[in-house]
Amino acid sequence: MLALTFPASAQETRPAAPTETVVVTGIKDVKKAVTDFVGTLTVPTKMTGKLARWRARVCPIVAGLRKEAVVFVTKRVKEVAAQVGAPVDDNEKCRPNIEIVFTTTPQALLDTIFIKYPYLLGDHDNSAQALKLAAFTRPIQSWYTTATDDLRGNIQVDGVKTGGVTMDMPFVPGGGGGGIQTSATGMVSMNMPGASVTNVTGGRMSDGVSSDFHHIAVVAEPAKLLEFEIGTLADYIALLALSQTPLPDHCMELPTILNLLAQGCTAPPRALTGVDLAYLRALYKMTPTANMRGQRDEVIYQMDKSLVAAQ
Amino acid sequence: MAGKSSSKFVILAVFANLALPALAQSRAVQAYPDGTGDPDAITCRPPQRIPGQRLPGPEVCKLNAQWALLRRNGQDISADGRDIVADPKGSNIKAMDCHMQGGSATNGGGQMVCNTQ
Repeated sequence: MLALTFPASAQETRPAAPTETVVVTGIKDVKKAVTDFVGTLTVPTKMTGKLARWRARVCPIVAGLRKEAVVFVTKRVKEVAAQVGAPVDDNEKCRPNIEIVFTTTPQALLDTIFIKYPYLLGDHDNSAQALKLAAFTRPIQSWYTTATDDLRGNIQVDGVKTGGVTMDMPFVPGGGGGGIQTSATGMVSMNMPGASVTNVTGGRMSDGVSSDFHHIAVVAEPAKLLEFEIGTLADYIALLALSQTPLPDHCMELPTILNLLAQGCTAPPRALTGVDLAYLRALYKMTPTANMRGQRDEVIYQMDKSLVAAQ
Repeated sequence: MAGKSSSKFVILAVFANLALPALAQSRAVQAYPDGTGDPDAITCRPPQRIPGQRLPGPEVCKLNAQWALLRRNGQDISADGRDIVADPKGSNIKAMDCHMQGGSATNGGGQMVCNTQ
């Protein structure tokens, strides 16, 4: 059980009440900065090529901290989710879909995940990719399991084995190949193991398919985080738990809590910033079924509306 | 109307199971899988006796990459197939053959050199 610095008052680390307009200082071209920010932070899922977000109600669970810290982090993630428009499960006995683990042996935990629950590492094509995903290289990291939600509301967890699909088609002489069997009725059966059926509109702008989060794992190594208050960490984790966020290697121009653990950032924010909240709000406002380009444009548009450069 | 709206729908077959390609392959069976061979191939361990129970545990099938990581960490899967446990065959650290190199019997010095046997 680990004891990280706990704020004297929970209010200390919370950002100011959300406002629709956020003033950004010291940046000449806010529009470009927003475009760069969104470009860096938005990662399309492998299955649909779209941005994922929570559709199911979020239910975080925290392990490895003192009880009061567990309650604090859980509450904070739910608060931020509610603030940005993500669905929240208020039932205390809800089924956890965000697992936040503070552990002194993060790599051992990741090894166990690789061996027992590799799908929790996110979509991967082979064991080499999975092993790479399972490497713990930062003080805090997150792993995203996504699901594809089709036009008819069928939800399929990405990367999980399906029963496959068999298609019966009229036999065309001269064709053929692996997996194709002809029958006496002149039909061919094509077996596609591992395939699944997705209902779509066929439209290019919006095909009726969206990507949702199915599970998010956040792992933190407290020994590398001793200088931070639990409120700061809770805010950082909240951002990771509500968006598929690649951790930047360098300082981002816009003020974001992600700069906290990026290399060489001077005085990074210690709480979620207006930019972070604007990004999350935009993510949960965008059209989930739009294509990736449309989604990015929507997020940029919404953030541009919220952020104003200081004169 | 219903026919019109359903005609809008195009059904696509998506190859979804990219994460587990090896499941479609044949499975090898080894009493003590050591993770050698194709990392994406599956090797199964036959059911093992669970102490104090009449019925054996399940067959445990894993990717060779998973078996290899278990062995590297000195671990195994329990007979009931549920938990990761210490490898009953002992440590994954191989015995070392160590000897002094350089120096002299009277003056000491030199350095210890170890090789795996």
